[in-house]
Order: sequence, then C-alpha cells, then structure tokens
Amino acid sequence: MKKLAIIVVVISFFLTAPVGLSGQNGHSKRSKAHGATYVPGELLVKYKDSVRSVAAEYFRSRWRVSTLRSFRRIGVQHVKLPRDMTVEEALEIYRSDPDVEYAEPNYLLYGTARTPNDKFFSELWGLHNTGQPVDGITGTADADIDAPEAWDITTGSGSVVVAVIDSGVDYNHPDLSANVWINAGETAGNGIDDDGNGYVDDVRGWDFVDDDNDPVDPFDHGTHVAGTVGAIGNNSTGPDTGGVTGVSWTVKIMVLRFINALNTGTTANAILAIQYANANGAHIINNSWGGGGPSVALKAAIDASSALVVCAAGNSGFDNDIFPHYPSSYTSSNIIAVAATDQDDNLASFSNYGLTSVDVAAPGTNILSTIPNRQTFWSDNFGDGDISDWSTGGTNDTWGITTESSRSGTNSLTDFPNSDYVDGTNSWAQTPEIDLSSSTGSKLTFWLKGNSQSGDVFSVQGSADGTNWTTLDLKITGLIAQFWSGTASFFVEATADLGSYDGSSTFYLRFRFQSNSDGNVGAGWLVDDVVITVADTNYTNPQDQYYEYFPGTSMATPHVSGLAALLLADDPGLSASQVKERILKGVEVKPGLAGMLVTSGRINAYYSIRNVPAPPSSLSATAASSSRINLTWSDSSYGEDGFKIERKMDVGGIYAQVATTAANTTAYSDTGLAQSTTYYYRVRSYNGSNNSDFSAETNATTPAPSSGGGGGGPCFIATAGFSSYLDRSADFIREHDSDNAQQISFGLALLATLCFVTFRRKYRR
Amino acid sequence: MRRANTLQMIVILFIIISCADRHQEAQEKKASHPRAIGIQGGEQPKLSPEGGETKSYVPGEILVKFRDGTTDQTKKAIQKEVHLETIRLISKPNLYLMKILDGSSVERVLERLVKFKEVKYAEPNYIRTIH
Repeated sequence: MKKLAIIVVVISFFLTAPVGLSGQNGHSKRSKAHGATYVPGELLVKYKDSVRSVAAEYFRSRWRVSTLRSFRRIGVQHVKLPRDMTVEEALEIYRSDPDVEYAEPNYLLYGTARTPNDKFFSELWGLHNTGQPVDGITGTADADIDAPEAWDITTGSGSVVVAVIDSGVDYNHPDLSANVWINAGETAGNGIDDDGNGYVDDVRGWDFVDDDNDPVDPFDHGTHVAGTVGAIGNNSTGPDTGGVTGVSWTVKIMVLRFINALNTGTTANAILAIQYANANGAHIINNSWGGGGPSVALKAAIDASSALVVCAAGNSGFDNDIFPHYPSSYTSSNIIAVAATDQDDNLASFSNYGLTSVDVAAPGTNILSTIPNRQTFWSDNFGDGDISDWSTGGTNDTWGITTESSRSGTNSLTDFPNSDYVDGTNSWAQTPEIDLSSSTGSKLTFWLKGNSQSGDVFSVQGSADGTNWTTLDLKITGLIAQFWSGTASFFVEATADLGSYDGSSTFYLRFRFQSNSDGNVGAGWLVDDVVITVADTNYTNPQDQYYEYFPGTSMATPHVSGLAALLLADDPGLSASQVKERILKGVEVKPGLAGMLVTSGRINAYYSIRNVPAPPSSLSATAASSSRINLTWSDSSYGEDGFKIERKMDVGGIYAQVATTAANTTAYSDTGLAQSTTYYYRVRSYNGSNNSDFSAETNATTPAPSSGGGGGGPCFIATAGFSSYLDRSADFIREHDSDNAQQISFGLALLATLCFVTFRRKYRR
Repeated sequence: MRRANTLQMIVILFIIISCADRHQEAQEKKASHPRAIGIQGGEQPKLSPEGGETKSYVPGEILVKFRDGTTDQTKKAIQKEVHLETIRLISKPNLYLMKILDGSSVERVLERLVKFKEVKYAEPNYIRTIH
C-alpha cells in the first residue's frame, strides 16, 4: 500500500508538471469561470542573480517545487508548488528567504470587459445581455454579441465610414453628431461642386428624395439605425446625457436619404445612393430596407461596390429561399443578409430567414436607439372655430368649420358642414402663408374621417408661391397615393413629406375635394389636427426623449454593420470579403436558429475580431468501458476546420491535447485509458492556426473491469496511465525547448524503475 | 425542415387566398356598383387611393439599360417610338430613369421595350420600404 502511494505521488508529480506548459496560451476563459485571481499551485519567482541555480536547487529539493519555465531574460522562474502547499504558504516561505528577490502569484489577467458609461447601456441587451428586463421583457444571459469583450480590443475608428442608406439621420443628435461623416472635399454653402463628385455642397451626404444636400430624418428610422451602428460611446457627462452607445463607439456615418417620410424609396434613388457611398469612400453600406421586385440594375450597383453591403432580411416571417427578398436575396458576394434574434437567442417572430439566402442573425427586438428631435412648427386643430386666416375657393366652395365630429377640441374642417357634398364640386381650403425658410425635414400630419363615393376624391396640395400647386403623396393607414376616396368611420392619420418645401418662405397647403356628376354623393370629409413638424436642433435635458425602442431586421442589420466597422478599425487592411468571412465564421450557432440561416448563428463581435470560431458547448463525457470514455459536444461554430480535444488526469493537473477531429464532428472516443481513473476533458474548435476558447470542462471515471481478468494491480494503472503520458511528453519535449527536458527523462526512468521493482516484488511472493 | 414546410404551405395558402380576394374585388369594381366602396364591418376604415390598389413601383417611371455601344441616336429613336423622356442618367454606362409620356402602363411599356435588341433590360422603378 505504501508503495502504491509513492507511485501515485510520483505519477501525479510528473504528469502535472511539465505537460502543463502547453495549456497556458492566452485568451482562455477557463480561469474566469473559476473566479480566482491567480493560478492555484503556481508562483513567479526571481532569485537573486548570484545564487540563482543554488537557490532553485534548494527549493526543488527542500520544498519539492518544480520549475515550469524559465524566463531567462528577466531571470524569473515560473514554478509549480507541491500539491499540499497553498500559494499563500509558498509566498511566506519564499519571501522570508534571503536568496529570493521577489515572489508573486501567477495573477490571471483577463479582459476588463469594457463597459461604457452611457445612461441606457443596461437597456442595450443586444450588446450585453445579463437576462435583464428591457422595456419590461427579460432575456437570457449572454444572448448578445459580446460587445464589452470586443471593446477590450477596439472601440472603433474615425477612419471607418459606414453609409446609412435610409430615411436620413438626425445629424445634430448629441449622441451622433461627432460620428457623422463630413465630406472633407466640399466647402459648405458655396454653391460649387468642389470635389467634382456630381453633388453640390454635399458636406454630410445627400438627400436623394428631395435631391438636396440636407439628409435630415423626418421619419425616425434612419436615425435609429445610425445609433445602433455608431452612437457615440462612453460620452455621458451626467445623468442627462450620453444615452446609448453604438456597436462602434467611434465611426463616421455617411447619411444618404432615399426613403421619404411616407416610408417609400425608389430603386433608382437606392442605386444612386449606393453609387454615392462607393464613390465617396464608404467601407460599409447599411441597407435596413427592401421589398419590391428584383432589379437587375440594383444588383449591378451592389456588385460594382467595393463596400461590404449589409442587408436586412425582411420582417414578413417568410423563408427567403422560397420568396426572395431584395436586396438581401441577391447572390452578390459582398452582401451579408441579416435576420433578427430576440432576447433569448431565438429567431424573432417577424424575421425572415433562409438556409441559403440569409447569412447571420443579430439582435433585433426591443432595440433602444436614437430618434430625431422634432418640433411642431405650425398647427391648427380648429379648436377656436375660427378659420378666418384660411382661405377657401373653387366650384361649389362649401368649406367650413363643423362640430359634427372632431379628433381634438370641438371642431374640425370640412368640405361641407352638416351636409352631404354636392355633385360637381371642385373646391379647397388653404392655409395662411407658412414660412419654412429656416426649416429642414418638414413633414405634414393630419387626421381624416368621412366618406365619399367612387370617382369623388380628396387630396392635399402644396405650393411654394400660392399659385402653382402640386398634389402631395399621402400615406393613410399604410396605403400611399395622391387621391383618396372610400370610408373612414373614425379619424385616421395621414402623412405627407414636405421636404421639397424646406427653405420656402411662402409655403401654402390646401385640402381639396372634387366630385363628379354621377348623382352619387356622400358625407364628405372631416380634417382635424393639422400639424407641420420640422427638425429641431435644440436638445433639452434630460435627453431621454431622443431615444426609442424599435423592433425589426432593420435593427439587427446595423449590429452587423457596427461589427464590420470594429473589424476594420482593428485591421484596416481587411477587404469586404474578408470582413464578411470574419463575421460569418465568428458566429455562435444557436439551436433556435438551426437550419434557418447559412451559418445558423448569431453574430459575436468578440470572436470575429479575434478571428476565432465559437467554442463548442454542452461537452459531456461518459465512461464506455474501463479503458474508454466517449465524449460528445455541440458544434457551436460555423466554418471551423475541426476540434481539438484536451485531457488531464486530476483537478490540479494540466491539460494536454489528445486528439484533433474533423469539422462538424461532435463526438470522440478516447481509448487506452486506465481503469478506475477520473479523466477531465475540454474541447475547442479551430480555424487554421486560430483556436476558439475552450468548452466548459467535464469529467468521467473509468470503472474497474467487470470480470477479474487481465494483469491488474497497481503497476497496470501506472503503466497504462504512463503510456499516454510518454507520448505526450515526447510531444511536449519536441514542442518546447525547455530546460526541463532532462529532468523529465530522468523522471520517466525513475518511474519505470519503480514500477519494475514493484512488479517483481509482487509476483515473487 | 418540417417546420419550414408547414410555414411554406401556410404562406402559399395565404397568397392564393389573397389573390382570390383581389380578383373578387376587381370584379366588384367592374360591376360598377355605385356603392362598391362603403362601410363593411363598420370598424375598419376602407380607404383606397382612387383608381385601384397602391402600386409596388413608381407609376409612370421605368429603369432602362441599353446595351454597350448603343448610340445616342438609337436611344433617342427608341424613346421617341415608345414615348419616353429621360429623367436622369442613373449610372454609367446606359442606365436611365425614364418617364412614360403617353399614359401607358409600366407593364405595357416594358413589353414594348424588351423587343428592342438594344435594350439590355428594362424594369419598373420598384418601391422599397424600411424594415
């Protein structure tokens, strides 16, 4: 029995000491999980130079301390303590010895997982999810893109340009303004196309809706998208400011407006915007829009772009493999198509998907981000019953105020108070002159109720001079057109984009009603709460009002664009296709996304930036026999080259790699093991020379053989355990030019001798 | 995969049903019932843009791409024949946004344009919306 104990001690001593070196390379999350601040059983020691070798030998023989590695240049030794000695005890011994210059624990250095001071950072579950409730909904911890870990490496760069092709951006927003791209080649307001790019005075992008240089956002969407890409990070100066942070704290957002205030944008303008982005240096294009038929021209514009083009997959809950969605479904190699996940890493209920047509998913429900600051510039709810400042005219001009029904106050405007309209009407009610000379992003909303017969139509017209009138496109309950008829049995909201009248000092609006002479008449229309809003540049504290929660693949898409910006900040030399590959190969594969996306994964900024695959999960080990343990795990990575399996023999031991498996394998059978022995395992995936973090550790114990055959006994255990150790030691010696090599060889010889002696004695009796 | 199949079936069914609906609506309109658009069910507003359903593309506009080497003279001749006016050059070479001058439908103009061998492709100016 005593001899067995000696053997075990010897084995464990040698097994744990040298092999461990190979397990020490960086970025391991293992230590983090243990919650320790230093590695147990290890020290870093500097002996006084004059006595170094003598002192080392003394500690080796007196305290059974072994040297793991020598850092010759700084004269420091990395030592392993005997099992019964704690780090604290060892420090006491070392520090009281005059031959020791200093000794310190082998402190674990892990990422500070940088978090910004932004007021609403805890709401940004997509960046950092602790399972916290967001807008009343709780989630699952770590169902996020690991932004704080990524920010340890980079928080972005002002030389990376992301074009947000959308409804415009509130470029004065205090959480965005410093991150808005400015065209350095253009002199503001000189009326000259200084940089010769075809656009005059385009200092901060372009508004393709109104064909002018002011891409301010009257519609919320583009501002929200821009905030997720790159709201300024860590910029809180007090409780009132610094609401959110983008994925990229620092970036330049090129504002290209092509969606109007009615949520329509044309393919022609989308093409122009993509070409502008490409011609003016955008590295990434964010397209949080889509729908409509396939366009060869749009695809050609994307194909011709050197930028990474990030496209929303759409919000219809459809399979894009069957019902293609454009532009996300184009086969252009530089497109990343993005679906949305919820706070539990499941596909959002509204999100489109597609095993071959949608690449990745990103957070897209309950996303808090920036919205524009708007102010009411002009309004009339007819509450005072006075429209003397309005004017009316036309054939059968019966316009007036009525108390029949109203949305607010007691009155509304109508084409014929208290009566059906008459045949052959063609009349209008016109606002007083409205000065929009210093307004930007002007937008009209009003409320409409009533009915009219087929062929009798209601419309709204605008004029910059009171003489020439243009019929405005209206959006009412989702439908968009210029002329309206039908029935609205309650007040419905109508919207018109007045952006083309920005800057006009003599703007007029008129409501017009026309009926034919078919003998069919109806009640006509009630108009109430006419409001013109414009962009506001005066942001008042607290600034909470300039943030809002939105859902959508539109919100998922800028998470990907923001990650692409971080990747380029970290390595400006990456091409669009390299950035795409890094994003795809860094995803975490999730059961809730399996089979629905090219990668079946949700993006992970930390892995993509480190260029490592996601670690395997759910590792489990089962002893299949006294000499075999079967391992299974979940493949959580996309596009990995394979998996590396590591094993150790006791809790304090050191891992060594025992096998490599092919890509997409999720099982391994470890054979030739010793009976009645506990083995510990961990697995990581790899891509080329880049390894993932390790899976969680697991273990299994081999049973004793069921029948008493074989050459059992203590020596069998020793040799069985030893044979694999011999192999690993040989590898280790090859890999590490260690000054321990001789020591190891000596140890091996000693062990073999001991074993031999024991064996002989046992069988002599 | 099973889930996807079910979803696909539902979607296809939905489309078939909505197509049928639209067909019915169109027939109702053709019947020239004077009160075709009225209160139905009371709750939902039934507003419609005059003249039919909202288009998924800009009415009266098309994108036209001519083949490389098409002369300006040929382009002008085709435009004249089909009654098109250039709104602007969208991208070089030869992609134009054009306006339909004679009130023809976008579909009809596209049919006519594809018959010219100089026209590489022509398509509606589809409307895109945010997600």
